[in-house]
Parts: sequence; C-alpha cells; structure tokens
Amino acid sequence: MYAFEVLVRRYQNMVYNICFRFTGEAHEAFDCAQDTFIKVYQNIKSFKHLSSFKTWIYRVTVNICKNRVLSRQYRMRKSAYGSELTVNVEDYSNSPAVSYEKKRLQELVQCAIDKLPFDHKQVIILRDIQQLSYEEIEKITGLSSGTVKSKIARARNRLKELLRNLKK
Amino acid sequence: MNCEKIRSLIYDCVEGSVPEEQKKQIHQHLEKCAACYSEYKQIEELMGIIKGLHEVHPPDHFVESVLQKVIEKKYQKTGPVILLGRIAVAQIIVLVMIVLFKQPQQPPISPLNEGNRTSLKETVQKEQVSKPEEIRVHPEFSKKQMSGQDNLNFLTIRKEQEPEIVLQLASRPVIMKETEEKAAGIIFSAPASEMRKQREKEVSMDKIQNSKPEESRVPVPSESIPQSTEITGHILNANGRILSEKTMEDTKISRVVFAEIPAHSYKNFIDDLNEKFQVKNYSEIRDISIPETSIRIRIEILK
Repeated sequence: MYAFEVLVRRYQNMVYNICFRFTGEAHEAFDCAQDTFIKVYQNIKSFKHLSSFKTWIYRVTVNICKNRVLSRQYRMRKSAYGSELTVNVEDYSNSPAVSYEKKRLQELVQCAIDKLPFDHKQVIILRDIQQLSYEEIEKITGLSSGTVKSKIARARNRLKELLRNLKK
Repeated sequence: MNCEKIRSLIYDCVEGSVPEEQKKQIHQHLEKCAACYSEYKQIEELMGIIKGLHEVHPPDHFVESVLQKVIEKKYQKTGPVILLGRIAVAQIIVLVMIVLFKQPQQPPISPLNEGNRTSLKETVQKEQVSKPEEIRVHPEFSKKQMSGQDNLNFLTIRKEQEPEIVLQLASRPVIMKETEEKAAGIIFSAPASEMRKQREKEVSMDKIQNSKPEESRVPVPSESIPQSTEITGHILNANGRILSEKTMEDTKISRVVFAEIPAHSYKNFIDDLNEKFQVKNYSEIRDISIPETSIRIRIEILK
C-alpha cells in the first residue's frame, strides 16, 4: 500500500490534468482521477511491461475518461447544466500574472475542447496539451500512425473553427 | 509550394517539427501570401493558448481519498454471494464443532473421578495429534491452557474465537511481565534510547518486587505512537486482510484490530513491523510454527 501511495503521489497531477481537460470540470475530474487509480491498483498485475508504466497509466486514464464522457448520465448533466459546467478559470488559477484576457482565452479554449467529439478531444489533449509524441499516442489510443496524424489535423481545424465561433 | 500544401504544414511548422529547408520555404510563402499568413498567425495563437493552459492541481485530500477508496473496494471484492457462502460454511463448522465437543461430555465427569478426567484429557490430546491442522493455537496459549485443571472447553472456545497471535501496539515501553500472559509480541514505537531506558528499568524492576508496573513506564512523544492505519497498511502490504476493528472500553486497550495474514507472507510481515517499530521478542514471534494457509492476528493498541 505504501508503494501504491508513492505511485499516486507521483502521477496525481498528470492524471488529474488529463481528467480535467477531458471533463472540463473539477468535480468530474476528481472522480475520474480517483477511478483511474483504483483501476491501476486493481490491474497492476496485468501490466506486462510492453509499454512504459507512464504510457499504461495514460491509457487507463483515457479509457476511464472515455467511459465517463460518453456515459448517458454525463451527457445528460452536460445538456442540463451546460452553462454551469463550463470552466471558470478563477476556480483553479490564483496567479496574478495571468492576465484577464489570457484567462478568458484559456476558458474559451477549454469550452471549445469540451465541444469536440471524443476522438478529436483525446488527440488534442494528448498531443497539444500533454505534448506526447505520435508514437506514444498510437500506443495509448491503439490507433495507427496515419489515423493519429489525420485525426490530429482534423481535430485542430475543428477546434480552430469552434474557437472562432466562441469568440464572436 | 501552393497555398493548400502550405496550410497543411502550418501546424507542423508552428510545432517546429518540419525540416529547416521546408520551414524556410513556408516562411518565404507567408511573406508573399496574406491569407496564409493570417491562417498561420491564428494557428500560432491557438497553439500558444493550448500550450499555455496552466496545470491544474488536485485537492490536498486527493491521495488520502484514493487510498480510502482502494481499501473500501478491496473489501467489497467479496460479493454478496461469496459472503453468504462463507457465512453458510462458518455456520456448518460451528455446528460440527458443537456436535463434536458435546460428545465427550456425555458421561458427566465427576470432580472426584480423576481416572475419567485423565482419560478424557488423553482422548482430546490424541485428537489433537491426529488432526494437527485443526488445532491452531499458539504454543503460548496451549502451554498455558493445558496446564490448567479443567479447561478443555475453554481451549475449544479459544480455538474458535481467539487468534493465534496477539500483538500489542504500545505507545510507550510496557513492562513485559504486565502483558506476557496475553501477548505473544509487543510492538514498540519508542526510539532506541527509550528502549535502553526501558531495559534498565526492567532490570531494576526485578530487584524491587513491590514496585507497580505503571511506575516504570517511560513517557514518549505522542508523534511516535503508531497509528492503527499504519498497521493496517502493513497488513494489506502482506496481502493480509482486516477481519474487524473495534474500540475497547478496556482500561489498558483502546482499540483491537483482528486480521488474517497468509502464512507465506507472515515472516515478511513481522520483519516489516520490526523495521518500522521495535518488536520485542521478535525472533520468537517470527519463528513460531504457523498453520499452512493463514494466521490470525489480534493487534491490541494500548492506551
């Protein structure tokens, strides 16, 4: 259990950040991150060292977020409380250095990410936010190299359009 | 390169993943083409914002919450069907035990009839030899109980309800004589210096017969008191499981944790405890004969 505690402490920020970007909401991110570590604990024996441990945790996190984001309850909550579930950057940033305009843009980007379909969302989060390599994304998502590249290109264009619309 | 080709490369260019030669060509095109330049600037801004999305941090209680959930889930693993099955098996065992131990009592033993008493004792002892796996009593217990006059039923009850090993978790050094009849091992959290003082006190205690045990207790800082959660962690680490935990209204014991440790990880468990705390009569506890499958442990956390 001590070893597991060390593991949670080491990866909590990484996992929580991914969950936050997928769900766009602190409470949902907390639940997803918690579920991720429970899953990791339960399946640690099935980790076969075929990929790095970090990649394996990424994969578990993405799967947990996928199940959550695609679940009926989550979509119902989003449609019912859509406006309330949008990100309030004030909630997680107290840095005075971050200007109001920058905060507003970040909020808009998170809203735009929220509106992306899941497969676009995952490649944007993994590539552009987490800065992972194409090879790592292939291992995490199980997609082929060509699919990853084309999905990233389409997701970026879609995100750009969404952001343009949100800015209007 | 035409505009379409340039636009397909803008993201890679912003990311810095295009070769230097291609990058030069793109920039040359951007200087001439206003539409592509505008597109480039928009993408550059977007990527800048995405990269600049600051890191969010989980709440402070996140780790504790995860650990708590993991422990809860671990116990939930035994589903209702398995649980009902276990209860049924336990009930059957209890019934069998009642039937088995009622039989020798059929001819009532008269306190005057020493011959009968001896033969009954011998019968039970023979039974113990023939079925060693059923007798899971710590040597300390069996020695103590068998030396009694008429405690055969008592032995049975202890076998059913008492664990084999009793470990006492003390917040301060405890005089061995005070507890040796109850506990197989005493775990100290006191620092080594305190232990030395304690040993000196014990030697002097032998000399002074009339002294009360409480007088020789050495106070230790409260932060050195081992928490029951720490012990729980050690039990889970050894693939053991917590059977129950209860608060006592005893004058000496504040809390009791009942646990079960697989036989194969028992020695490691004791080693772990000894590393973290200080286990008195460590080698004796470590090398006791343990049952084949698992060993039950009662941890008494002293006040």
